[in-house]
Amino acid sequence: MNRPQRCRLRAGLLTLALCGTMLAFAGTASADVAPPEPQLYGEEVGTPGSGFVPAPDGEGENINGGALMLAAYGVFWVLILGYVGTLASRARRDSAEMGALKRQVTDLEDRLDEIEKGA
Amino acid sequence: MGTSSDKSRFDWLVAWAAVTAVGMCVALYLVFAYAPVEATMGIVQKIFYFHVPSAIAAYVAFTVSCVASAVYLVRGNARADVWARAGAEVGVIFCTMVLISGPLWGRKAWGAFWTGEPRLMLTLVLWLTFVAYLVVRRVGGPGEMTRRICAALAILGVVDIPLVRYSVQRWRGNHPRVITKGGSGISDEMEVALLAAFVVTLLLMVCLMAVRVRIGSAEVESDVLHRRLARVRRRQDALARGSLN
Repeated sequence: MNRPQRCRLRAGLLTLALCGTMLAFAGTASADVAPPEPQLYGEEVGTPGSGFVPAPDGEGENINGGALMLAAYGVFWVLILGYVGTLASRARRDSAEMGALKRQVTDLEDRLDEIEKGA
Repeated sequence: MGTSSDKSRFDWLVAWAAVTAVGMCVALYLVFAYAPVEATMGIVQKIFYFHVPSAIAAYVAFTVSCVASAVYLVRGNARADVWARAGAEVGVIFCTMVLISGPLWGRKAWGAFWTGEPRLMLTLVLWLTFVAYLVVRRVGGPGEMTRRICAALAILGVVDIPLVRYSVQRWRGNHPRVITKGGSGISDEMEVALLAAFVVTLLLMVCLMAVRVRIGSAEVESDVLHRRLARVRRRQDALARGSLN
């Protein structure tokens, strides 16, 4: 491994260590907070004994499940198609590079063989 | 590339990709048209059909990476290293899907995108371990030391998978246990859709990994050609020096 590669590896490892430390702190902080209880469905908000207070004028949080589902499937397709696109471009680049390298090596070897024969 | 063996492998991959594409259409039909909408969560529960299979696909890909890494550490086989890298890369893609689709589902089911739940945190740790693998591979270059560090990282990362799997049973958590030893807690139609999604996601994972392995093999071949070119250049220099003397 040469010097620039060693430096890059050291910088990468340092960044990862930093991210790990930050995450460890975040994990410790979040561990002190109890996770929210699962939301109960089909139960009236504010029923006697539940301890919930109804929102004014019937306004409450309305989570659009359809939008969340569309976002999840959208991310799924973006990730898959993006990765397939990346693989395709890498394959094209590698193929072109290999072709050029093979030609270069063969040409050079042929030329050197001719020179050696001539000598 | 361009040889007859490459051509037959390419055809095999195209056929596999075509089967995966058809399977994906069938699975999407089963998920959205055949399986009923869940009574309490509604339409957002449809995330489940690709969330769970993506998690399994990620585990399989990471396990392939771990086994190939172990083979690389023992035998120093370059092909095993190619498989290890492919497994890590494809596993990270599927694990990213899990980590994005899960919080979107959780927002509706739990009322929060993220909690400090054991399975969530352990999945994040798994993802970070393999992201670290890919970062080190990228910045460390093609050296032997980088490959060995990454192989160790892949083996270490896979230890997290059983913890993710059993975290719901061992520790308190909000994650639902839909499929257990006693059977699944879902209707027959939902089970068919889930099975189709499982099959097609695994087909997709294998297809992506096969393409990545092919690219990795080409990179190994390219390295060999670079070394051959360097040898030819040295020979050229030696000849030039000889003619001058």
